[in-house]
Amino acid sequence: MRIVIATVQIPFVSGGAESHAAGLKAALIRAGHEAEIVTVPFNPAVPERIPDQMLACRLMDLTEIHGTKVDRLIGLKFPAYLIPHPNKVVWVLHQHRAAYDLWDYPFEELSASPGGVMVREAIRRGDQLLTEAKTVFANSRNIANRLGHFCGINATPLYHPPPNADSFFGSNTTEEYFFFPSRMSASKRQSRVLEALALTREKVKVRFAGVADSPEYGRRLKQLAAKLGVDSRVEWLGYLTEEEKRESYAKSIAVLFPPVDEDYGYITLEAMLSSKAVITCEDSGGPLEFVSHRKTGLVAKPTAAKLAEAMDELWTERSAAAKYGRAGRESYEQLGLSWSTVVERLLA
Amino acid sequence: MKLNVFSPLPPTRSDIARLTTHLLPLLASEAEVTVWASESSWELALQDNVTTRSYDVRHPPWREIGQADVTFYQMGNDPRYHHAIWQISRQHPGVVILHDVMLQHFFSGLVFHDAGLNRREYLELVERHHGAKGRVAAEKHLHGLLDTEDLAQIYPLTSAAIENALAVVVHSEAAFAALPADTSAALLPLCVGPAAPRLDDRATGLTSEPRRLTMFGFLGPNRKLPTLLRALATFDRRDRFRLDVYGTMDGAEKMEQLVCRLGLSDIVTLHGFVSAEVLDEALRRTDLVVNLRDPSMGEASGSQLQLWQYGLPALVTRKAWYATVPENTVAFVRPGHEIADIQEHLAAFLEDPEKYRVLGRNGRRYVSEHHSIERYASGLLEIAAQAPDFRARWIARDLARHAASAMSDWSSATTMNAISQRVAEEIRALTSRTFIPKSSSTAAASTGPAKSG
Repeated sequence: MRIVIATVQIPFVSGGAESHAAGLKAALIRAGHEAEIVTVPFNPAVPERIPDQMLACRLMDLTEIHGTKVDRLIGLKFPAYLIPHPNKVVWVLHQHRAAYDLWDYPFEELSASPGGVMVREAIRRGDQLLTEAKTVFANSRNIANRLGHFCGINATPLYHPPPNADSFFGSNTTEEYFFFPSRMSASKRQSRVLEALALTREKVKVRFAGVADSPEYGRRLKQLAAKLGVDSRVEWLGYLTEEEKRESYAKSIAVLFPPVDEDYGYITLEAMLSSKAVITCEDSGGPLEFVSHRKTGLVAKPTAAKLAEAMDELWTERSAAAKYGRAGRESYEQLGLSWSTVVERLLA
Repeated sequence: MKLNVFSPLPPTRSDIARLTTHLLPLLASEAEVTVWASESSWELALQDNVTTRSYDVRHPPWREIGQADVTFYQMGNDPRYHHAIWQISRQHPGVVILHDVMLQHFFSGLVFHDAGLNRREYLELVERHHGAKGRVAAEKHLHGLLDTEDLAQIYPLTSAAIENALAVVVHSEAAFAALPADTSAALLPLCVGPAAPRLDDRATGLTSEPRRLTMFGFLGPNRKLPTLLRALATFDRRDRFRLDVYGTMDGAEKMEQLVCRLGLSDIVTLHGFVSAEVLDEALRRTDLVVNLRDPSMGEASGSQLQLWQYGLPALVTRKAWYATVPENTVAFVRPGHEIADIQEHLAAFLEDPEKYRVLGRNGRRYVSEHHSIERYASGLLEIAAQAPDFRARWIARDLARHAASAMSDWSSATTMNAISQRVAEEIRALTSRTFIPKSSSTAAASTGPAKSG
């Protein structure tokens, strides 16, 4: 089959979504198909123009390229998943969450803009076109639930392995740090971890990896660490290569991942592949589909104090951390995640 | 349902402020209401389900404003009370309640009061809405060569006051007809306060002379007070009347001088702005109200409804909204023949006051049947429930404008037609469907009233 994967790119921002599209393309090609990623530029920073970008997607025609039919379009992200196609399947990585569950969150720009209500209405109405697709899959149970609640759309969760899943490894030799690998943004809550660090009884150390969504946000995090007096217990690793990232996972005591209602979160799965316990929060969304409290990690209330308690616990109870990590690896194996299953479902 | 209401509030000397005060309990019985005031202080009794918030128009708290399902803007012609409201309404689309459709007083007032528009911005605004001819007329106005009233009749700037509105509420057929064709609009008969006054203690004074004439409200030039004074001055039985004038006016000193010059000092008293209590007492003592409007600013008259509540007869100009009220509820004065008609009515009143009292009683019945505040409040709530549909239309119009603007740069007329069709289909697809989450406070969507399809 000739398949287009429709997604978006926010210039200068890169994360799991880009890896997801690349992984899907590779899997389709491995399965003998011709696949291409079509990336639509998307700039959410000017909310009033988002409806224009939705309309632009609706006006694209990808049914045929150079006289050859495109057999299937797989839409991944808003608003690219609005591109029409007679054989469209949507695999929702995430919607524009500022118009839904994140509307009330203080860090979201949409509700703080004068025309935000109108843009929210436009997005919610536009997303009703998801039902044009033959099937709507969601990247996780969490996303499927949101689609059901906010849009009245039935979506089937379809899990996939993180990129280079086979390359992750565990290590019995750990170094003195928790690892928090993630794009740095308010929704990932690096700031909450810094606040928790200031409350730990132990001299817990954290290594943050990843690039900030904006340089300003990165500066603010560093200023916060200094203000809280924890900067000596924090390392900012910035961008890591895949190899460096895997090694950082392997040598950590445990992995921190307490985002706000995460869609899916490769980090959880990568930690499990690396045999590491995961500390997450009760409102973290996607990670909760994989982390079992006191089995494969700790699920804390989303306050700095409770997060600090969880960090102290695994910092002192190293054997428990190791045990949870091993259980996490076993749990991952039982999930049976594979790209071949994903391809089969998307092309059915 | 959550509602925002942007309105002047007491002690602001505004009928709209009083109207809002009366409306709030009725709206709050069905919705959670936040009243937004640009003033730093206000007088508003604490009420269940009503929160009052002040805001700085330079830094509006959009996040809080955006929590409501719909925002109402009370829009009138006084730049002092409405400039902040207009500024917010331009940025955050909501339902604009227009109390006047001719808004030159408001917009040129913004320039004269240095309250949000400079001369250049004002002229650009007029040009954007009324073209080059409108700009030329506005320039004349700024130079004192053209009255606001005359300018407003030709270039009313209605569309400037509602340029980003989700929907518009007006109070008369004429105002409805004056709105731009693609406006989502609703016509609600204007209302007055909830309780009609008891009139038992009023009737006793009605047989004694001198007869009491009253004029009240905001006394702009279109209220024709000098004309009334001249009619009185040349009326041979003027001593059988007393005229009391209540309300603010520009040039009060000149008016006092005119009263003296016409020899009316013994029978005319200019009181200026008075409290609601004082006005209530005055209306109880009144025999006949003079409530002229020429030119009309195009909307229903709150003061007319109020005087009807008192069962009072009134002389009104047969023009705009007044011309549409039932013949048996008012006494008409012809535009251009005011002095003769006023004198004729005064003479007729002296001959047969009962004939005029019947008009007042009919008016009292009419206002209770057609202008109840309960009906008005439920009309607003119905409009609020239609907000999702209004938003869909607004979004569709906005997308169409952007698409047309983008295409006009590179598309010929022929290709434009073909592309436009496709763009229109996709805009319809994007905006036509909605889903209301169960936990949302938003009311169920339904088809709202549109001025045109």
